[in-house]
Amino acid sequence: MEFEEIKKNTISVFKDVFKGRSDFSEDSSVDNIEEWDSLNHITLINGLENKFKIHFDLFKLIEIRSLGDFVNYINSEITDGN
Amino acid sequence: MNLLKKFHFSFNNFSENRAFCIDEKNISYRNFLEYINGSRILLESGTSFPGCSVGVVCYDCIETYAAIFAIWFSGNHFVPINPKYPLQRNMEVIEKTGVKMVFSVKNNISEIIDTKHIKQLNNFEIKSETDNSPKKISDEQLMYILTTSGSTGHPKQVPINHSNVKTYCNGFLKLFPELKSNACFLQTYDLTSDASFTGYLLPLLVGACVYTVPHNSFKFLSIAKLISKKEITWVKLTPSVLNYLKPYITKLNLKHIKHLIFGGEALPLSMIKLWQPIFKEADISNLYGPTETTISATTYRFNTIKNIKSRNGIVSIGKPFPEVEYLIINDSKIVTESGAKGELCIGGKQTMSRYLNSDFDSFFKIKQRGEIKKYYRTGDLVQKDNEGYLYFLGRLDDQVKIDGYRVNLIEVENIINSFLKGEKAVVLSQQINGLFWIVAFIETQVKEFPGLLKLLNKKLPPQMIPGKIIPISKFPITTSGKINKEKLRIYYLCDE
Repeated sequence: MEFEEIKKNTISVFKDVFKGRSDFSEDSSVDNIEEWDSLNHITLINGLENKFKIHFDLFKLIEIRSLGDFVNYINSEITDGN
Repeated sequence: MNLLKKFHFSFNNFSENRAFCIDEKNISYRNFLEYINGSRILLESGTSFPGCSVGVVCYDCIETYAAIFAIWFSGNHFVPINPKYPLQRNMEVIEKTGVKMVFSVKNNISEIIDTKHIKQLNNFEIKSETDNSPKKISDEQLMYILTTSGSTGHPKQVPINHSNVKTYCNGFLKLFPELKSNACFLQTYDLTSDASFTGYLLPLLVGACVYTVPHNSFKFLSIAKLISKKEITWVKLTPSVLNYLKPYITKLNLKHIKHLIFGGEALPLSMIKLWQPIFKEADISNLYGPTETTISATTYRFNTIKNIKSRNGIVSIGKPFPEVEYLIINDSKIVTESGAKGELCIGGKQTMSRYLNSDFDSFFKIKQRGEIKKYYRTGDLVQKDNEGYLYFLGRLDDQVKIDGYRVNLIEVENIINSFLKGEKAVVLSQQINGLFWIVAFIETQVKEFPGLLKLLNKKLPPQMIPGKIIPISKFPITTSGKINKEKLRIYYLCDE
């Protein structure tokens, strides 16, 4: 899967979780999305795991704070998996 | 020896022990005392007199803990300010508690508090080797004032004095004599919640090490990382944290945990059955207690999943702390006998005397052995079994616990209603994967409410902001003409 496709699919999961928002980019982060709390974080993780058929490493998740971080993580997982 | 002298003695006696591990940095008791002395000099050189309310903007750093002890050692009382809370909420706390001075390690705190009329004490890296004994204080002097969500629809200030805290600490150490200087205690609570006191007061009394959770990430992930450290032996957390971590249960190795303490929320039996094999070596305790009765008033302790006492799938809240007295009263305010359901009322040396600046009477008064005794009405419905174990059965009002915080739904409802022009709002809680969140319903013909979320963020702490706002053209009504909340729940919310 290409990087842009990963980004597009990640954004679609974000749109499902943060309903009513559409302005997502790699810079969308916990600092600029007020609704991004622990509960929504878990919902995002579940949504992304189902979408990409991957499992996030619990301890690496601590570093993730933006949509771009998710895209990079998923990209490296998928690339390594290949 | 009074409580402050005990702390001072411990800090000197265990001077080479680790007092804290914050963000992977170790701080010895000697070093911690230097930070306290630095903050104390800063405070006492100001205009503070003993008996004042002094605020602390609570960041995860040694200076925050030092400021709290500096406030106590100088004879004043601590008022926590949460940097994540909106300015308006924090200013309400400051005004109601009469805070005139605030400690902060950051200079620019204008988004947290209005600094115009508040003296700011920046204690970043302030230390001193000049060590003075704590000032003499009376047992009745206040130690801290916490703000909780109120059943009246407005936040309430809970003043807790030295006698309350001393009684709690003595009771805890009697019930948990294993807490010694070799322990490493993971402090997972926000410093604005009273559950956090267990995580640092008690370890610091016995010369143990306090591990704190950094604020810069999702808390449950940071807790997962820290709890996995082999040296952590004691943990106190809300059941919600384990719910967040459920998908990763097989990845966690937590056999080094010797004492796992729950508090802040009802503890589901199913959770214990699921997690007990992961915490195989741990003694598990369920602590219960409203802020008004000082941190924890009852405890239930067990170390095997066989025969755990529970009712309706919720683990027992156990028996009272040594100096805690209680009664259970029924709807007619008559004390019930063993086995009958009723409201739990807590008295004794841990119970506050009254709310600050409020006439709201939340006490049940009864004549016992010739004197009138006061018991705090908890609003919790409980039942006692033949062996004296208490069981939490639910709330008598709309209060819910979210991540360990008390949230009175009426308080959220009031703010939404103040925004609406003629429409009406109803606020309910919903459980998803064992975690509570808030949902607001608004009876209206429009679909969007520009400005409402902004107002809620301005007035309420994060845990009180509704996760969903659902517009409804007509509320279902009960036969007596009230809004049918049960139908709203059945139609729109499917608890899992």
